Amino acid sequence: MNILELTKLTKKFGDFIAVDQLTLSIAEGEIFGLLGANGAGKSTTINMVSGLIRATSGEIQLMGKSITNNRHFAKMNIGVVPQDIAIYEDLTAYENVKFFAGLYGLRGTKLDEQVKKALEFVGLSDRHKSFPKNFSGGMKRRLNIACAIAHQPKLIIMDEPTVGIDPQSRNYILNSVRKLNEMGCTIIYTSHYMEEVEEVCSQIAIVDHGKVIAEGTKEQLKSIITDTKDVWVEVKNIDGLKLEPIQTINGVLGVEVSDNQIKINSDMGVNNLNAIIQHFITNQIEIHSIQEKEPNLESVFLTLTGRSLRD
Amino acid sequence: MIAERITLKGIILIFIILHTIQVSLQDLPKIILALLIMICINLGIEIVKDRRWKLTLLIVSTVVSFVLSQNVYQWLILFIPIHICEYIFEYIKQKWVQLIILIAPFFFISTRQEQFIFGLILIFSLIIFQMRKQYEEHLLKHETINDQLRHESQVLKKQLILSNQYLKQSEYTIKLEERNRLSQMIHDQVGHAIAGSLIQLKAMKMLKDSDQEKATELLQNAIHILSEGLDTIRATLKNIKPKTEQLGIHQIRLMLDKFSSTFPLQNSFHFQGNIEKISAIHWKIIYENLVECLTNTMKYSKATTVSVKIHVLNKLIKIEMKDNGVGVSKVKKGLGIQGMEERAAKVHGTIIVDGSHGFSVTMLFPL
Amino acid sequence: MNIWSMTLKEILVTIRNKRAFIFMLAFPIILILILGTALSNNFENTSSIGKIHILYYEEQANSYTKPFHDFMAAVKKSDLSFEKTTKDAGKQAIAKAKADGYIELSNKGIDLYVNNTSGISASVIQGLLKGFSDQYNLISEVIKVNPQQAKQLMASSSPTQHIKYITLNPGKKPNSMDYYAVVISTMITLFGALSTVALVHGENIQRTADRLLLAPIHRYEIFIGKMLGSLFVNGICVLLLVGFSKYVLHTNWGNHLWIVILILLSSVLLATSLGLMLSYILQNSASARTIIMIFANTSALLGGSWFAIPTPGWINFLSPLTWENEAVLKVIYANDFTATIPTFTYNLGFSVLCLLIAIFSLRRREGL
Repeated sequence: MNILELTKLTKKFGDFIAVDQLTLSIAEGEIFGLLGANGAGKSTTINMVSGLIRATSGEIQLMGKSITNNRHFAKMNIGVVPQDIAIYEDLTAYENVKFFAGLYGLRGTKLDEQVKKALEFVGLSDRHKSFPKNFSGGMKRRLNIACAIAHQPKLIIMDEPTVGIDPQSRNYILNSVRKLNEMGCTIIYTSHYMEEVEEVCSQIAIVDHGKVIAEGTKEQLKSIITDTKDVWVEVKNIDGLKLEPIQTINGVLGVEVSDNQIKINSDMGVNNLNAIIQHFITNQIEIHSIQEKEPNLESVFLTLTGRSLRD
Repeated sequence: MIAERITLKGIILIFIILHTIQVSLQDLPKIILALLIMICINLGIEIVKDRRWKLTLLIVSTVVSFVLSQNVYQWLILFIPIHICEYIFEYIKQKWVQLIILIAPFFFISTRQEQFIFGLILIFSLIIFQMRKQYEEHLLKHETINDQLRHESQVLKKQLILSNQYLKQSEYTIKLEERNRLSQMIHDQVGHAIAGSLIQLKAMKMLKDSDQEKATELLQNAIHILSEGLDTIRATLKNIKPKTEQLGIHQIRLMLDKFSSTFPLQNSFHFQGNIEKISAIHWKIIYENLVECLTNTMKYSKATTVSVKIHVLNKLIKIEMKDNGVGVSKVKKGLGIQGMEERAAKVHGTIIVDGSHGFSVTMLFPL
Repeated sequence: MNIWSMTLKEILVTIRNKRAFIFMLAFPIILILILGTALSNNFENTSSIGKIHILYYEEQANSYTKPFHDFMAAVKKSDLSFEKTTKDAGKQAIAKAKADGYIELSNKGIDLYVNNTSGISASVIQGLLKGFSDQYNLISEVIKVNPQQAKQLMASSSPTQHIKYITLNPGKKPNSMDYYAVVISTMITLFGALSTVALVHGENIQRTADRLLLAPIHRYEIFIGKMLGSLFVNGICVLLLVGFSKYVLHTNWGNHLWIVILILLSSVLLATSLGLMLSYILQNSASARTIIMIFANTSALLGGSWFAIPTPGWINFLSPLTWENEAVLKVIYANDFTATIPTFTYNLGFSVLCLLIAIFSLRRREGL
């Protein structure tokens, strides 16, 4: 079942079209990565889904219900971790989470319980009485997440949740994204860090100029560019190497030799590295280095949009 | 140099007027009369057209201002530096005369103070006249260059018209040649086959009653010749007919060259990947969309180069057109872009329009 | 319920923002102390008018003679002296400022000559004569209608009965500390608009505005919550200030403290509404602050918060502080509630206007 369905979603600011007939569906239980350069329309899309701005045209359905007619339902079921840290510096961590969770109709012991749970989830239980102004960047980011999940939404939208923090906090956040997903939340994740998206997301859409230009699992996205990978083997001495047997290794498509380097082009879906290495070993040829080059998301993005994500 | 002269003289006039107001002299009426005389003569210089009259009046003005400065009011002498500049820059070419004219006045001026101010104004006027002169020379130089360029462009235009005519002519010739080649080919291969089988058939007709066996053999021969002929025709036609990708690429190249020859627009065209994967319908859409883009570029972008890149990926064709023009900060979706999108939608493709660094249109077609 | 948690949050945020809170409390106290001690001289001196010397001239006997003599007899107190003179001598005396006034009685009417430099004495004479002529006109009107009754009226009349004197109790005049405690309190309510702006724009600065909009609450709940929170905080500040000045500085707040507090709270409402309006109209917090600073400072200047204004002109009444100060001072020193209701009405009226504009601009935009 699709938790979120966007149909021909369009947002115009005057003459400028920020989101252009965008159609996208996100299945329940996914960690859905949204990739796009600044100004590609990610944030506008997210803002429309979360109800911050109205769409010019098109439809957004959350769990089969149109959000324009079911605003309250939609807001109750969506949690947004905004890109900028949005917390009150003059309220303690506990008070912050409690205030925001309270706006979702939680009261009394249930409120207290869920606030504590959210703080524990992001690992701030022991600091719940401290003021955020004394927090590190990573801790603020975590509090930012806690404020968005205390009301236990079904769909969590995380807009660049790891900007400007140390690697430890980043790992912590990535782990909590996975944990939230295991607990049954669907997550929409945007990030500038391609590696993060590649690591954590099960489904990815590339957005450019307000349109989805490619969508699928990371393997599917890579296969848009190419189905092959190159294995570069550098050897000490090329003499005595027979190329024909390499050709017969499962998945190998072609072999080229230049100086002491052998480039073996092979099918990406087949894991034949062992067989290739084995061949060199049986022929008693000393390997200096071996390198496997296959396209990553960065190169997919670059090829499709013509610019790098961090432009 | 009218503007400079009048401005300088005006400044001197204002200086003298302010000076008289401050000092409050007794023979004010006389001074005013003198000033009016000076104004009249100097306006006269600007009004008369003849160069000799101008010179005459200039000399008169110089003499009058000197006489008046001695008799009526000393500062009237300040008109003379400007006159000196006029002599030097417009009438006298010999260096030594210029020098004399520059230095001579100082011997006629009595007081130190007058000499000082006279010298200052002289230097100031000289600088302004010199600047003006340089500026005029500059202008003249540019005008000359401009004329030259205009001339060149005329020549080039003529050449262009001629070569266009030649182009049309040669196009026609090539067509004729091609037709000739085709008819030759048809004549050689089809003609031979049909003629051969015709003879066989005619013979068979004559023999069909008398010698049935021979007739059947002839018929068999005819069939054989005809089927062989058909094969040759097929083979020939296949050779003649260009491949889709060749057709597509050449069409696009031709179109780009045509734009480059009609407008001041350089183009570059690259393709990469397995171009054979592009089907005829893709080529058609690519061609139509590129025409649309180039028309837009011509109309709005002020670009000088445009590049087209076709990149065939594993499951996707990416066609990128980019110009180096002004672009637009906010792309407005007009009919043109909508048309492109509709065409692309036929093959489930996407169009991305970007105006931030020049204008670029990227088409993505899934394979 | 959401409104209540909004309100509670605003109060917490403001009180914990120590700098602003100290400004709200310490600044006015210091002002009262400084101005109260430094400008105390202005309040000790009462200017006395002195003796008023009036010349008069009667053109034979005319219709005014009798009433005027009655009038003179009635107003002749120790400070007023009348002296008969001739026509020219009277005018000369006025021109040379030897007398305070010269009255000329003729059949045509009464002419009064005063010297411009005479100032307040001239005003006193004008006032007296106006009272006289009013009464005389009354009588002559009565004659036209009913001559019989007029005689009766004239016989029994003495002008003093028809002029009402209102005197302030001279023992209950504010000293400088009392005065500044009042005017600084009213002034500080206006500056409360700054903290209101800070509350609204704080959401934008801390990026929490989006989060509020994401929550399933109505924008008006946010609006009302903010307003209540701001009102509460600003109100508490003023109450603390009044309490401090009453119990620590021992200034006089009169016998009707609750009315004074109500007036101050209406001013708090005005400032809060103004702050809300400006922060919703102007996206830019700096410009909203600037406008409030300009408004509050000019109001303070015009309303007598820095220097007492003896006779306020129309321009002074543009400042809400003028009405408020007048109302509060009258309540404290004269038990006079005449200015209370109008001030209350003005403040409430302008507050409602500001709130309506704020709500209107809130409806028109997408954000908070």
